[in-house]
Amino acid sequence: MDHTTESFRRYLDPQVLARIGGLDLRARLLVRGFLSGMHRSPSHGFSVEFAEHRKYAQGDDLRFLDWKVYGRTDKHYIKEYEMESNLQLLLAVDCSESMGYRSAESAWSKFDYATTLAASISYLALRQADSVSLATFDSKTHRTSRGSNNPAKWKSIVHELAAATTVGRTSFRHALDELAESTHERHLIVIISDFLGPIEEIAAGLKHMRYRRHEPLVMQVLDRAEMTFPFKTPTRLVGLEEKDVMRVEPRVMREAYLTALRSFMTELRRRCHDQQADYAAFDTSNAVGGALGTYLAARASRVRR
Amino acid sequence: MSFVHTGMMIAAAGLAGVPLLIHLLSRRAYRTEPWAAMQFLVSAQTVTRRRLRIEQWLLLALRILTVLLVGLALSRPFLASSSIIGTLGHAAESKVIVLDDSLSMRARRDDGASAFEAGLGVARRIVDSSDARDAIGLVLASAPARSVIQRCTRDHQAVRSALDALQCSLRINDLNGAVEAGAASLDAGDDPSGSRSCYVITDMTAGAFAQGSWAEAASSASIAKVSESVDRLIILDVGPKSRRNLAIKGLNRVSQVIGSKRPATYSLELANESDEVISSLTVSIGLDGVTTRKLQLEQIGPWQTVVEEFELTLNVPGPHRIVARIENADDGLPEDDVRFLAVDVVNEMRVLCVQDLPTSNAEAEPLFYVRAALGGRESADDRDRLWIRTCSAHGLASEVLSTYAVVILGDLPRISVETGRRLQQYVAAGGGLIIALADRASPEGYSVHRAGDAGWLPVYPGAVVRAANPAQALGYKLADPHNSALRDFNDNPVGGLQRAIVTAYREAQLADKPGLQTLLAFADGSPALVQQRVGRGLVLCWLTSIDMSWTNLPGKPDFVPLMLNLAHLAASGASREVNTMIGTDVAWTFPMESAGDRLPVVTPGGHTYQSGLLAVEGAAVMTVEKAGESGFYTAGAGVLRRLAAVNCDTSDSDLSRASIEQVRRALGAKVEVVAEAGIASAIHRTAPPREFAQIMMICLLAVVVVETIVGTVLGGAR
Repeated sequence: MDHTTESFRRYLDPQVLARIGGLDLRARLLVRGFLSGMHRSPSHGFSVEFAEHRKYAQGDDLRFLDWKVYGRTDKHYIKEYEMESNLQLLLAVDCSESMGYRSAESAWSKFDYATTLAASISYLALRQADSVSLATFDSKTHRTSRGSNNPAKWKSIVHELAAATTVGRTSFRHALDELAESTHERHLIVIISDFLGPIEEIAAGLKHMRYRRHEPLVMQVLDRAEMTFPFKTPTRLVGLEEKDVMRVEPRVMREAYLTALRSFMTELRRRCHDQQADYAAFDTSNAVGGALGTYLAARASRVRR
Repeated sequence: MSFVHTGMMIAAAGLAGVPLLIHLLSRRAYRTEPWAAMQFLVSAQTVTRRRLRIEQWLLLALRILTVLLVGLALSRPFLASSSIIGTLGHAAESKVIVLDDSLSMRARRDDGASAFEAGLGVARRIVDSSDARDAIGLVLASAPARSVIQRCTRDHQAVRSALDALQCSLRINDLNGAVEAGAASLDAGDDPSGSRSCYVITDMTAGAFAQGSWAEAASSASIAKVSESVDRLIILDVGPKSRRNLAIKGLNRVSQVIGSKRPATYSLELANESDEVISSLTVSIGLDGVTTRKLQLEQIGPWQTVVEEFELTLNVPGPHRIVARIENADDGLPEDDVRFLAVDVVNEMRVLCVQDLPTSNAEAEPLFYVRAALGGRESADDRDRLWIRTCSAHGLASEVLSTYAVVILGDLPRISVETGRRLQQYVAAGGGLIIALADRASPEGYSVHRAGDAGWLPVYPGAVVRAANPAQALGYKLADPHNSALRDFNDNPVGGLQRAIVTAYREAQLADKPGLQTLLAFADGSPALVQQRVGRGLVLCWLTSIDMSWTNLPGKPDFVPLMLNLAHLAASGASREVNTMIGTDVAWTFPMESAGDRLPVVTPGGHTYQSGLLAVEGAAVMTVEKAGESGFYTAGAGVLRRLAAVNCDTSDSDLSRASIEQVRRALGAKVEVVAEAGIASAIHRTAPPREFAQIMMICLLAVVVVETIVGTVLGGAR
């Protein structure tokens, strides 16, 4: 089995696949595309997103009858949904050095987790005939492939992800700006990173994406150790990107670290909300499938409302 | 602040760096881990840096403080008690009391108490005023100086009990040895550190600090050692104000006592140990409890010693007690105003004369004239009853030597090894041996007895030295005119001893033995009569004939008394009298057949007890060890009755006070001399520096508890 096949199969972990196979990836915003499918388009039709009520006409699908309105008004109305349109999905995976961190307790490095996540999403999107493109970034963006909804695209995405290495320092300002400017079409930009950087840069990047009418989707991947700071004995921590060294007394530092981390994650979530960007945090100790499924279910629930 | 164990503090100061070192080394023991989320650590560190630093410094300080406190406690710091911190501590003092209990301390003071009683009172005050934690030792200064309490102890009741049991001795003082013993007692005490004081309670007699007595004890090295051991050396003067004293320094027999009813000369030595003229002094002489005469001395000048002689006739054979007593001494020390003398009058003496078989010419026998001089005379008053027996050299083997007081060998050609052994045993047991070495004695016949240490003869006959002609004949001269056997002949030209001539004599090869004395010499200086004590007996060697063959002495009037004196002198080893000093052993000899018996002993104080006789070197010996009372000791009864006179050592009779310079010369400049008025304040002086090791230990425990709590709260930091 060659490297590509192994990567392919790894990312198509049956468990992973089982969780996300039944879910639809639906875009919350209308994306103009050339494929008509389950995504929202300017034309109305059966859409995945509720647009308006209209009176029931004979022959309408009773599945779309709004029974709540009937209960209130004794009148029959049909819920009209926005038609799903083709989604342009841009997967941006952080390949900076910090993503290469793997704690002793973890089976995955953050990058492994991120690439798995990216592969899962790309597979799902391709199944839905969405156009998927892949970009990696660190201090700048490496746009490695053009968008395509050809199912064969998935293999190349997987191959590219497998070939990526975690080197270089992160610069969210440059990378997110480049991602925002990388396409003129509205994209769902899924950014998979640990987002360990200045929050202002991250927020500015998201804002730039929204300005360019993209829909950012922030997926923060952190190692279990980064989320719990499990050290017990005095430790010398060496930064992966900055290369600075810090001696820590875990007993004393843990509380303050976790407070700072939670504060950051809260702020990041808030900034994403401000830019109407979804935010999800993933712990590398959790199975990818479960986490993604949890996310897609929550996302689908928001779209139907 | 000072430290008892300064080295401990230095070590602690060094070890206090160990926690710091551990802290520094432990930094190298950090585990290194890569980390991505440094930004949160930076902000966390900003928050916790101060707290962490405080914690670390606090723990480090506690641990360094712990080590320092351990060292401080072990080094036992002390401060002057005048400081506030010093008052918290414990004042440990080691004291040794050197109490002079020599004869001079019996002198009476103006308050009626003896200096010793006053000294005891001072010693008790020292004990009573001591802190319960002070260690105290006790040394007595009479010779030989000895520690009553060898190691300074905190058991003050034991010290008090020891003081209560003390009595003043009659011995001379050994203050030098006592101060050294005191210093050793301080060194050996439970708490050799801290303040160390030596209180010497004495009457400060000059004799105690005389340069000569101190010079024997390694002088400056000894004093230097004492100075090192002792922080304070204090002389407490408890002596009387008046130092006037009269003393009988000696009562001796001058001439030989030959039988009863014959006057003998005695001498009395009297000393005026004061700077006053003593007039009209009366000394009574008592004989067996009855005053027989009183000697009147008109005047004795300041610091003068006079010798008075008197005659006494002892009418009854056996041991007699003679006592001389100053009747009107009026001084502070009555113990040296009396003197005792034991005299044993021997009326009957068995003498064995050994010579070659008699010849047809009796006058040619070597011992003819000796036998004539010693025995066989019966007089109306039976004064001289010497039982003479004569035997040949061959017949000597069958004689029981122990039944004779004197054995006289008359110019025997040789003494066999066996005979020599028997004679040696006999003399060692107290017998007297007179050996005449003249024409017949052969050097080879006597030289067998000189082998190594077994040689017991004081002299071995050499070649015969003859005068070339009668004009060159030699005379006699008294080599030891004060000897009791010869004193009668001193300056007595009429008697003839010093006019007798010798035409030949044996060259003497004197044995190299200690105690060999030449009593008579020939005019050319060669020894004529030598004496040597062997065991308890005496050997006299006469190196010319004691017949008329080589000398005309037997024809002189002095010959008879000379022979009698020499016989009694030789027999003195078996004498029933003993005259000795306080603190020495009194040993009486009894016939060998008494060995194993128990006889009563009566002390001067009237105490009677039974004592056994031990067989020692051919005689039965009874010993009173270290006689402690002055006066007469008696043992046995009847023919086994023995007498001993024990006198105190009057070397300390001079009670004059030593000057400060004398004291400082003897004890060093550090010594303090305190007169009686200042004794109270000298004892209750400002307390010595106080230790506060206990406070340190309490602080240490508190710090350890705090450190443990802090360390636990902070999570057991390293």
